[in-house]
Amino acid sequence: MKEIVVVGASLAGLRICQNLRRANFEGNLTLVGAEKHLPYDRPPLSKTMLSSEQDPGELTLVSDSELAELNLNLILGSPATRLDTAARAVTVGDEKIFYDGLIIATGARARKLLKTDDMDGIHTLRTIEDSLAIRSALHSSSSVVIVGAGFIGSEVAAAARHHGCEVSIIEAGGAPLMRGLGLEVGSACGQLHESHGVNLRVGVQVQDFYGSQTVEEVQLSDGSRIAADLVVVGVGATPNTEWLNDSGLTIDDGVVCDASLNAGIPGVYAAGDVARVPNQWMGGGPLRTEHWTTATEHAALAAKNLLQPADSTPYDSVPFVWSDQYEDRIQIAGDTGGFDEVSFLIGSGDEEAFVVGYRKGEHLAGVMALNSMRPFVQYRRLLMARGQWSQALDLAQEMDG
Amino acid sequence: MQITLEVDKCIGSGSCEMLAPEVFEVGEDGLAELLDATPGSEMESKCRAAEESCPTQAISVEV
Repeated sequence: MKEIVVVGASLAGLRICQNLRRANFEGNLTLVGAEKHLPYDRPPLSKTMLSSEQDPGELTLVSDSELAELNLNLILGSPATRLDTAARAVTVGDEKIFYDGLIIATGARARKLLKTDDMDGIHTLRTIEDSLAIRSALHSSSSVVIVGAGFIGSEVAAAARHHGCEVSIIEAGGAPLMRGLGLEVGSACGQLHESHGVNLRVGVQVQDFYGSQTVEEVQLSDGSRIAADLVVVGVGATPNTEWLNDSGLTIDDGVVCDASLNAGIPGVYAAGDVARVPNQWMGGGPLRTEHWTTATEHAALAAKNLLQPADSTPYDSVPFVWSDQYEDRIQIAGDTGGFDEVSFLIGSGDEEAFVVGYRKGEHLAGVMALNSMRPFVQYRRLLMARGQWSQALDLAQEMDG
Repeated sequence: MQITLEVDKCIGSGSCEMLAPEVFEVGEDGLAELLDATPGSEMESKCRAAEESCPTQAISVEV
């Protein structure tokens, strides 16, 4: 293999390049990114970037010396617009870049609500520019409305309270994070917001925005209106696959891949938020996962499997995600959807630290921990070992004692 | 091999302990500790994996 092209210059794309070079790939390596920035870390965009005056330069994931060592053909600020799998070529601007191996890591973009582009003061959060714009607005805003109580919405709400703003969260579901964690645990997460003075409105939707040039009010589905000079919409992300529409690849909420991350054509792989991949640990069909850790794991695996297809390894990992809100840390591992039982293993929902276990059949399927790092890691290891529910209960007793 | 851990960056994800429990452990305070700052070269791939999986880039591995 002489020419490898990696499309997408965020976490997954960079890690792919690092893994390829470490595996002694000495051919031409092209990294294409739509953003003008060197690969940077996104989790801080909704955390430390908003709660402090952190320099965005600190988010860069690669040093100048390492970048030089990687010896990349680096094309930034110019998205790939087309993939021709017959000619094995990626179009970037006016140029066609030919490849023997291709890894697609174009990520996802924040989903927007209709009409929100027409009015100032309504933001989504995905990029450095988004984060800086929200940070700047937080300094001058008094009433902030957050649409969606997922991780991004929850973290922005915490940052807005830190800035002294009045904050309302509008969540269509019955509790924050309900789809991922269930109603009971989601409600416990909701208490974090309410105890910090946030007006949490669940079971309602945003119907309209009012204002002349800048947003002034948000109309809800129950007829009420909330004043807002800043709105941040955190209602999920859409995979960036439009450029692949006539590529012949199977696109269905992401690039559909087999367990080796292969996209259905020899030499073409996908990784990160854009990839829909079966995870052996989870069982079942292909899943799209927007976790930081998934991007790094996919990247390592896609690089390995592209170079050694005869010796392919399937993706097999315990999902992990974390969120920092206020002074609190939420950590989640494993499968916390579709459980048979959910119960507090350590502490309870009204305490400042607890661990919740999700049982599926006889097994521990997932864990959610609040401010409980050491126990969480123990449970994460138990999940990796496909531990029994009884072992999860034993572990709780050990750690309580 | 020299492992460096910047504890002030650590968020206690435990990713390092999952991948290289011989070298890293999340302690009672919720922060990672180095059990062995100079592991042998047989640990390189595990330590590299820990370095890359750290969500806050708190680990660096020098060979």
